[in-house]
Amino acid sequence: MEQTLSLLKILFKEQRGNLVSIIEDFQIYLNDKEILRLLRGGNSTKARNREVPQDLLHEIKEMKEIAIDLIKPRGIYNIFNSRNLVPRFLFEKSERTVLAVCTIGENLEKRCSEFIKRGKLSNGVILDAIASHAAEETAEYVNQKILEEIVQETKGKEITYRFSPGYCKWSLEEGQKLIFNFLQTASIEVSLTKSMMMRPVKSVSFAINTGLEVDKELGIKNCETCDLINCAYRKVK
Amino acid sequence: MDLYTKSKEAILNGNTSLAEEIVKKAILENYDINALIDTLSEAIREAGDLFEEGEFFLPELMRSAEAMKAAMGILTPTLSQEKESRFIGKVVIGTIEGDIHDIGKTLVASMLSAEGFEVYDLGADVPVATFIDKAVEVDAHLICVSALLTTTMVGQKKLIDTLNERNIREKFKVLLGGAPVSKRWVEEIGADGTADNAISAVKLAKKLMVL
Repeated sequence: MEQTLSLLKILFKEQRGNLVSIIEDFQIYLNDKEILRLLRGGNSTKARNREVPQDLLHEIKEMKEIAIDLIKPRGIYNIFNSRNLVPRFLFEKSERTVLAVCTIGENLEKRCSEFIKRGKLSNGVILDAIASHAAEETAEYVNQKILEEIVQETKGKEITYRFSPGYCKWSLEEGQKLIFNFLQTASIEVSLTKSMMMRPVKSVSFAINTGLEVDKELGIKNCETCDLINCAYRKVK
Repeated sequence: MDLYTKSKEAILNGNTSLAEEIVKKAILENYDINALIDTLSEAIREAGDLFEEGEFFLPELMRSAEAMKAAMGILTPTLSQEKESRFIGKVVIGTIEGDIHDIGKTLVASMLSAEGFEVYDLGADVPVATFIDKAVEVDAHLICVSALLTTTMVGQKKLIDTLNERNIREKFKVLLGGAPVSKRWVEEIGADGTADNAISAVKLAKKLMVL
């Protein structure tokens, strides 16, 4: 992944008496292969050998040029005592839990809607795929930065993969309420609607458990075993 | 290559300007418009099949839909009496209240329209009453309701319940869309079906129209 580390800022802010970290001013790398994966239809494996049309690659390049200036990746996180967190089945084996929210901002989403409204569906779906990919890359980047930041604190302990509300039996409603109650996400301009949807839409919320004997299975987002068979991000068909 | 074959190629290649040029020529030179529309319809179905088979990427399918829309935009005014048979049915479509996910629903709306449905796209964050009022107003055959969150799926149930309360459930077929929607959910709330992509949705909608 190409990142401009010199630009990276991790700010520490006081919120409700806690020191929270805001990660911003970093760049993410957009991978054509992943964008194409999100745009690929159907479930036939034999058709996947078809060469990607040049005009599509050109259109993706053009849309990436538009997108890159509109993506403003940033994230916020803090570390909490797992004893204070519910539902207990998710946190009972954990000692400390990182809660985080990250986003690519709303500019790309707005531009995507403009294309769709103008009937430029092809451009719109490409921008949407780029935005989804960018949001996932942002989450991955923030995840890595968090792991680097907590390396001392977690020495000799186990760490789960990140897991998000709506997945792994963590209900969307319960998970979002927990994370947004604990983090002042206005600092990164992310809010939660009544239906527990994040605004901007291309945002990711997650948790990471740490401790001597954490349940590592909790954080594994395994597409093969996930119930959301119609999920746009499903990696197996 | 004859004009019909060219028109098919234009749709499959998602070439809007060529598709427009061909249909204008067809009108000017008194080609059989019904036969031309049949060819265009065949092309958009083929584009859908190619997408379902994994051969086409989504932007290619969308370009085909854009070309189809442009071609039909030119042909429709000439149709008034000639090609009533292309009309399949009326659809009211939208994303349920509390949910602002728009793209998946828009793709389904575009493909339904390209296939010959008269589509009333209400957008996103649409209250149940707006869906029902519009469906009654236009005398729709189908109501398509999208929900991308487990928290907003309840709105799909509310829509079915409200149709039942108003004793108009039998007037409409109700299709559900969205990542968390399962066949079990469809059965549980008494909807008529769900599909996992825009092409399957169109096929299901057409199937329901003949029931």
